[in-house]
Amino acid sequence: MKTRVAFFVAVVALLTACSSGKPNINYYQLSPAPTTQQVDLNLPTLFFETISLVDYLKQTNLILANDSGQLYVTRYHVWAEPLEQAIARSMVNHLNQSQQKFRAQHQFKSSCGGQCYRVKLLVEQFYPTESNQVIFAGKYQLIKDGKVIAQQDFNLQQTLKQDGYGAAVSSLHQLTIQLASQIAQRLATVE
Amino acid sequence: MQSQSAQSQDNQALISSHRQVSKVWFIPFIALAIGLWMVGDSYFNRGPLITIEFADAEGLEAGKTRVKTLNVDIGLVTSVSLNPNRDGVVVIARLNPHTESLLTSESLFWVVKPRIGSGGISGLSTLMSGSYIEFVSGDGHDDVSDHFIGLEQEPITALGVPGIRINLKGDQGKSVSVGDPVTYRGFDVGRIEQSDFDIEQRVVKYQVFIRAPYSNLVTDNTYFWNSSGVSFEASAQGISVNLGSIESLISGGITFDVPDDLPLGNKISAGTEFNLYPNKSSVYEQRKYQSQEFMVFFEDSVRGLSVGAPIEYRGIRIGTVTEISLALADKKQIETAGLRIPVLLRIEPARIGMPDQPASVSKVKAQIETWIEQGLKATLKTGSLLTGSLFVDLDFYPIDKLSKTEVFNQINIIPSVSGSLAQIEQKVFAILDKFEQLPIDVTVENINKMLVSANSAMATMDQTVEQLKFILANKDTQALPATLAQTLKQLNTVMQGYDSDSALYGEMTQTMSQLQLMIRQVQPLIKELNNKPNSLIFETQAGADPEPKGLNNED
Repeated sequence: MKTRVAFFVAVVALLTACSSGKPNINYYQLSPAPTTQQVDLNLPTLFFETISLVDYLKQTNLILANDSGQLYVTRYHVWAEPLEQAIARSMVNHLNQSQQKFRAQHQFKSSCGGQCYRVKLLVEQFYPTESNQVIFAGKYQLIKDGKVIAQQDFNLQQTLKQDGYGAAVSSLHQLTIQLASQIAQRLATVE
Repeated sequence: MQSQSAQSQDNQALISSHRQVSKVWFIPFIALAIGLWMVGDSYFNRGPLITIEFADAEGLEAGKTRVKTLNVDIGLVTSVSLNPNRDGVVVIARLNPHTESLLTSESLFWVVKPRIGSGGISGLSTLMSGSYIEFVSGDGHDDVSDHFIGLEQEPITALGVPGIRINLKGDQGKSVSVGDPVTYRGFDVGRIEQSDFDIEQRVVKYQVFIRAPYSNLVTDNTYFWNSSGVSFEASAQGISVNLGSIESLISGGITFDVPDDLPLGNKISAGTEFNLYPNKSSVYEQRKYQSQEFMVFFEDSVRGLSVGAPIEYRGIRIGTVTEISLALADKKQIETAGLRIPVLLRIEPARIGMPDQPASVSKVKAQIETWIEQGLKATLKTGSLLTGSLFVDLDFYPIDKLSKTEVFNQINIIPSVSGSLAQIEQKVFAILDKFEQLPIDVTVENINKMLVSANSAMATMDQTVEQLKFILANKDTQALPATLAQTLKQLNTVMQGYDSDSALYGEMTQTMSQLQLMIRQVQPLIKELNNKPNSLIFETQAGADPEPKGLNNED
């Protein structure tokens, strides 16, 4: 029995010896907590139904692009939640806070009642670059009663003013807000 | 004078002899002389004595019946007696003096007595006065005669009337008789004078007199036809009724004209012979034209096709059927079975507006030979459904092996094709033949067998239905629908549990997203292990991540 305990202690000591001096993992949240806001249920509904990510974005780690277009997957900077949910939530929160023409909602229900729009979003780029830029690019479709009423490609960029991933995530959040506003405007024109 | 002489003798007695014949006797002599003179004068100045032969002596009486001309009394019948053969009578009449010049060989005598005939009523005046003999002098002044043959009745045309006499030849004497009028466009221009039946030619011959100046209307292109009675004609323009004059309506008549398509023609001489056609349309139908003969051999029955039947090309008459006879065929052909009936046709170019000349005939012959090669064929068609009469129709059909010029007895052959009726007949027969060949006995037997099998099948089915009834009557079976409904209800409830609003759905979504997150988190580890399998044990010397640079902090 004693020999077993002695062996276990030795192994643990050996393993712990190898894991010294490692940086901490940082978790990031895209949008801040929503403000208190009452939503009118009689407004037309806009569902952010499907938000698809291109394959390299389907991971928890943040991505950094260098000047030559190479992507770097960070080791110690990760999203606190799946990215598509984070983007959708950010946009929904912004829309419900910023306007009263329709109410935004995250998940689609077949029985929406009244007028009902759906947004399909494909995210192709969503990362900071080493050259002071933050990029949010992709395409979206507006759908009404099963018919596509509008389709738009977008490529939003913002200059990064501060160093670090915290500032980059904040910029990305701003870009999602920008896209949400664009979608709201587009919806107003097609109506 | 005698008294004076006597007184003188008394005074002077003179005695004289009485030998002288008394002068008183001159008186009888003078009387005798006068008598003789009268007799002589009467004898030498009496009129001619003529002999007339009649068929009978009806109304004639010796010493009473007069002889008249133009109602002037010129003589008296002196005796009526039978002729030596006893088949007629001989009438002797004494005419008035100085009438010899009237008696020529062409003089005509006939008895005028009351008559009622087709020409009307005549001689009514003789009812009171009695019959008399009418006399018309002839033209031949040189040829004096005293023996005449009396006419049965008054001559149709008075002697000396200018005009022309022509002869007509017809197939039948129907409703045309002597004395009937001859009209031109409804105007009475002449009479039928005689009618005879020519036994040799088997035709009726008529002598017709046409008065001048109407005689000029008759030319060598004139056609005569029987205008008796009423004629109906139904055509595309409607129905037309042609009525002759009342006289011709009752008694018949003949009319004549030049057909529209012919020139007037040349004048004719007396005695010219013409054909008499039964009616106006037959003039156009049966007229003789310059023609070209063709032969057709028909496979169909020619019953209903007659000589004189028309030949038509798409409804236009272009010729006439002249002969239908097996005698036309070859002897060799007669011996073979399925002999076709030879029919001789006459194509008449004048019927289609070409001049009636030999040149037209040769042109039409050449044209038809070309058409034969292009598919012209003859077929029999029904002209009248009522009478079943046929006519020959020429038309174009698909070119086949028959479409070539063939000659039979130096007559060109037009190929034939079966008529539509005959074709239908052939098809019907073919169908009937097929019906006959059907194995009806076998079929009926099979049907019988099938019916037996069907009977047994029905029995089995009855049994099955009985069993089914039993099953359905079972309470468990009856409860089955209710159980099924309940099950469906439960299934519905279960399915509702999986609805997007349900807690289970929410949990599942959550689990899925957690699973997704976990996979994403494990991904870098797997990549690391791929690169460096011992990285779990030996730490990788990885530095800190590169940081995005802000514009404000850029060096």
